[in-house]
Amino acid sequence: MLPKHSRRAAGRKACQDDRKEAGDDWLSAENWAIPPTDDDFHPSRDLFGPRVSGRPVVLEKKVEFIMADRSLVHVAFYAALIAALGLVPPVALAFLGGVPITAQTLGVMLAGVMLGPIRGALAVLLFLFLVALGLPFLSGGRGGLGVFMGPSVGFLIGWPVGALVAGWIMRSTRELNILLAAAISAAVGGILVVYAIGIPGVAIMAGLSLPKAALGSAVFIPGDLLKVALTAIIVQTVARGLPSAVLSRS
Amino acid sequence: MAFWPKIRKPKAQQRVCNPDASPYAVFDRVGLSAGSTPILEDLTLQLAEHRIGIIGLNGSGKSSFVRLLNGLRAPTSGNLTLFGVPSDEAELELPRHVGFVFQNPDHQAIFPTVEEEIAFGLTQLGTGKEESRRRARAFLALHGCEGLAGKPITELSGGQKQLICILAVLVMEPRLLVLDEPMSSLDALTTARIRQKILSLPQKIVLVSHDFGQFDGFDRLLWLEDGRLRMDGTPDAVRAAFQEDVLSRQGMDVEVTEL
Amino acid sequence: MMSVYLQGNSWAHRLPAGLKLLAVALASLLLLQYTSFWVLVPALAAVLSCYASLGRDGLAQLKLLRAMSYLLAALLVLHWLSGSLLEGVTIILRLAIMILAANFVSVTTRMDDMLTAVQPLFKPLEIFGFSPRTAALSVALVLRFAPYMLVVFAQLREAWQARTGTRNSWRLLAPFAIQSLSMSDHVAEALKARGGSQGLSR
Repeated sequence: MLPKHSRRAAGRKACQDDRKEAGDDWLSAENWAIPPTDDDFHPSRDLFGPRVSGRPVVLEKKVEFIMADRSLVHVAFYAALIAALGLVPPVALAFLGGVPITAQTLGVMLAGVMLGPIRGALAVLLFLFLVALGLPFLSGGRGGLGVFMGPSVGFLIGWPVGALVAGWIMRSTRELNILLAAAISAAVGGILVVYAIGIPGVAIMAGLSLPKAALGSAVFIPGDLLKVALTAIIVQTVARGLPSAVLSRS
Repeated sequence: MAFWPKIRKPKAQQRVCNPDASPYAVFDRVGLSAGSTPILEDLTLQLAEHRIGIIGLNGSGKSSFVRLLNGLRAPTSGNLTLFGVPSDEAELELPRHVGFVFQNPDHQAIFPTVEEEIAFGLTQLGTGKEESRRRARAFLALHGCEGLAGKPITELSGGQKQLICILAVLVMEPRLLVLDEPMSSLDALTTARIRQKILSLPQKIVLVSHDFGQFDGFDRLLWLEDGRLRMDGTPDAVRAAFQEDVLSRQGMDVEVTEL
Repeated sequence: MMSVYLQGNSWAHRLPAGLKLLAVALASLLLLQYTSFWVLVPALAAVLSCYASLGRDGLAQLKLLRAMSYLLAALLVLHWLSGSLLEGVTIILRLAIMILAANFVSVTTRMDDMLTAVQPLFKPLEIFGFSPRTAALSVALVLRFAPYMLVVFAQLREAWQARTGTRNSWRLLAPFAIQSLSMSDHVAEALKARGGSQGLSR
């Protein structure tokens, strides 16, 4: 059930008690499972889930059309998520040397891991398309064609490929524990692949040697590892609360 | 699971609906189940009246019932005829004849601005982009909403959002308008205004609600319970029976699973 | 609509979007052949005068360079460390020119026009059943979702704050994902109720 918005603890002490008592509890995945309040109907279960049917021919056609619409919406959804995460102000953590960490690549990892290879890559491409059209969706409010002429363009190109690889790994490790599988997918797709394309990009665009370019890019890796961990936790929680949303495994 | 985009051209097997068919919906022992769980069972009725209301407790199958009318769900047993054509053959044509307004406008609006949201219905019907925009503005002006045209949907008030969602469906000129608890998050004044709008429409109406006050001026009221038709009659008769039933149950210990 | 686009009616606004895109692509390709100051400095002057021709608001658009200045400075330091400072300066100058030139197109072209100009590029994708209409629809959906997500997050944060007294937590991310995902399912249903992504006129 949803948390009661109206319940406000009286004081700081009460707040802390409350947190101990309920804070951990109401965030658990079971509590966020979509409650069947909307009458008996839930789109992702009823409309898109597997159905037993006496008239398979008709339903096959129907499911296919719904899939196209639903995939379109999901691709757009993750593109928007990447954009929204770009609006989160960068945080600089002291124990990571004060390098600013942006939330944007978290969205890239999530798109690949949650949507699977094709739709994940499409979501990132759609996001980049919007940036190219002039929307200031890249972290720091950047947008327009200019960013594709900058030294970090290799990373932007690496994102959809990274999402593709992450989704592919996620899909081919269905037997593995979901937390582990998501972490591996996000690390390989979201870090290894992205940097493998991004570092040569910096080297070419800025006329640097590869080791120098790698050195310059490496400062962001600790932050990216943090995002891998977050991705894994989010995917695991969603898998418990709304399993049908983990499309890479369904 | 299919990759996106996977789009196959529909076969030309569609039979053309008759928008003037009366009754517009004929249910013949219609049932609907999700997996092994039955949602609707053994419904046999005909819908022809101008304004029909639907009432029932949570979980009674109201939402699924109205989704059958728009082709959002297909019956798993029995025969459903919509506008003179079996529902599975009418499916692709249904969104043109049956407008569907959802409970939460945030879940319905597809486009960022009001004008685009209205114009979408017209482009769906094959109108060109510029022409759709122009007609959308004219349509908004006709309903006294010209000031909202360029506004982002997220900046509208709850009532404005719901009104725009209704207009976005009306612009497609459906014969039947299905509303699934459209007032559940609106205040009394906005509810009254939207109700007035609904009652002034020439379209046939099917309205789902928990509030009997909204069925004033309706011709017929259906009471669904546990996926079956419990009662079918005039709003006054159904209201009396429903309230008596709720009162008689209040004394009992109610299992949480029934809520 | 939020965008880097600058409202106006200058000579650059009136040029067709496709022409502008083509010109910038060609100019960038040409520029990559040169590292001489004799080419780069006039090119920079040309780009800057383009911005200047839009007036005060146009010059204000150079703020993009400020956002990228840290990155460019870091690159310069790396060049300095490897003992190629002069080469570093020319390369960064070239980057700055290319960035500004491409950005100039974005500043002077409406999003609609840009979308129309690039729509022919989607033509080859039609064999996969991907219509330009789908591209336009997905763009609209993103613009619809992005602000809504911020609303969902704000509501969750309020609920969290009401019960814990603290403001932000990374733990809100998972419920946020679940809530907004279920919203996207509803939107998919609403899209289908109005005829789906393919339209009704087929």
